[in-house]
Amino acid sequence: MAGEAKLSHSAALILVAIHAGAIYGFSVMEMTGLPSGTVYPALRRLERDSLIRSHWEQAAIATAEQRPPRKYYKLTREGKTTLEASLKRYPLLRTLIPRSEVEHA
Amino acid sequence: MSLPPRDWLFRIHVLILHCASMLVPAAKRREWQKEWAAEAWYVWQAAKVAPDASLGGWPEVSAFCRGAWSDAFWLRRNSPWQATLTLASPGVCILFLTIIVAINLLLALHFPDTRNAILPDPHQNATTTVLISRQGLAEVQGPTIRLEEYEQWRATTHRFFTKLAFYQPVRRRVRISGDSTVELSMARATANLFDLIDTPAALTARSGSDRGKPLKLPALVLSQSVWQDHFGADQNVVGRVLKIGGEDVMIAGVMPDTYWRLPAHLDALLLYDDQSIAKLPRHSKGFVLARWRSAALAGGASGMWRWNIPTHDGRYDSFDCMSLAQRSRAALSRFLLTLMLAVLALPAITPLALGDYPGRGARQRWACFRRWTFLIAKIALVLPASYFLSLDLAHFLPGVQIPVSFAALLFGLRWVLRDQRKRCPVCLRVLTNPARVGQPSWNFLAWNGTELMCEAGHGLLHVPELTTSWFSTQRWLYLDPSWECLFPATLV
Repeated sequence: MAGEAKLSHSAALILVAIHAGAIYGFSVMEMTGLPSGTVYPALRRLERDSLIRSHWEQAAIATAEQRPPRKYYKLTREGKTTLEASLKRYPLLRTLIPRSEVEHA
Repeated sequence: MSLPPRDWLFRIHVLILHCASMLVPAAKRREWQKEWAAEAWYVWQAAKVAPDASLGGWPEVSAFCRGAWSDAFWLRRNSPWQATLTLASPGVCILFLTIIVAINLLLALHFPDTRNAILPDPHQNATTTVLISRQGLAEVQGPTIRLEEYEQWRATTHRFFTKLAFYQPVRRRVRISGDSTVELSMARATANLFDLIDTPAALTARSGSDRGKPLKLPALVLSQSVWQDHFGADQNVVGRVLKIGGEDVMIAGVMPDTYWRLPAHLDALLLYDDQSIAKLPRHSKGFVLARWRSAALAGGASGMWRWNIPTHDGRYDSFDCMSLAQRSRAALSRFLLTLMLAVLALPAITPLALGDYPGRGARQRWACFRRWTFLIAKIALVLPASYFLSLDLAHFLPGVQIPVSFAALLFGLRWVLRDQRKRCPVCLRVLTNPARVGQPSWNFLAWNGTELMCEAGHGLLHVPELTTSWFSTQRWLYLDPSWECLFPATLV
């Protein structure tokens, strides 16, 4: 079951960051401080395991703001269950990502 | 996304990311490419406005690109298709063969004797100019004709030859300047040698007022490599006088290395008049070059023939005459002979049938075209690889060209056929997961043998263990698209 999946510390941190509102790759990097070589493969694995899902921002919005479109990530139901299990396993994750951000998300 | 024209540095980083994406499996490549390019822009924007930004944020973008390469590498490494980087991939297979051909070609071009077998013949009268050697010694690299024989032919064979030239390899120490001496491989030759091999360019190198005047003998013609190595490529070397074996010799010119294709390695040629040559020991041996009066007399198309000439005591001496054209193509002729022998011997060591690949749709026709193109490309690379390899080894071990060429062709063509048979006809990758099917006793109503599978799910190959009238050769079974869910996405 996905809820019982055991994630690495980095993957769990990324999951927490997405839950806290870091919704595209660069913002995840900013929030977690993890390098790109860790974040993007981890995002792919989490998506493959159906813990997160992604969608591309509409091109019109990005064009209007003179920037490239973002690929947004969002936790799935299985992802949220896994996140709860991971927070029990890595309680310090709550301190790495500001609590207010998690609750706000 | 529109970028200001000055952001070419960012475009370079995007290009680097595109290159990195080439390592990503094809099915996922576009997605990775798009996300990397977008994210790099955000990294750049954030880095250049950061309080501690240095160099406009480019170090951060470069670090992002390095991370992308790392991602792509590990993605490829962890892929079930990582064998793409081995010979299982058709592209890598062709690349590997091309590299083998290139290495052998470069080696062959490096050695003077093998280079002569590859480059076009520079001689204009190569079909009527012949090298005469004692019977059965045409392939020998050493001198075989005595000076007295040359002198006799010069006096008595005008009806056969328009010109005759003699040269004799020797080693001589040459004083280059002051106390600097060097030992060179030379040939004492008659002055008309250059007329015979149609390389007057070397002698016209004489400068100034000497140009066009008769050559003052003895004269020295340096090879280009000696001129460069020992004379510092001095443009004014022509006309300089050197002391060789106690006599003064004037440098008359420089000969390009590719011009000398006759037997014996030479660093320089010492040209003498006929009287000086006649003073050499009469039994000393050298090489004789001759120009036949007409091509009709010159052995026809074969380029090699036997020449019998009466001696003083009423007997006949036999000599082999080989045209320069024949000498140039001798290595290729030997290769073609071994190619014919290898093709004849091939059915003895492997079946020639490639298998039964049914299907008449447009997809199958395209697959058939690719399959045959791949086969022809492999053969087209194995042939020159074998030729150049045989030339290279013959340089170190004279006389091994034929056995090496035959073995390389035979086993090379065998590998081509065997390799072709074990590949998927659609993606041309090597088939995997061999499984034994059935038992020999099934042959009466079914078949037994080995079943191989394409990793991409294009089909199965059935290879019978015992050939029967209803199952004589391997047979391919295309899988329909309903099987695709069982196989990983196509990468290439």
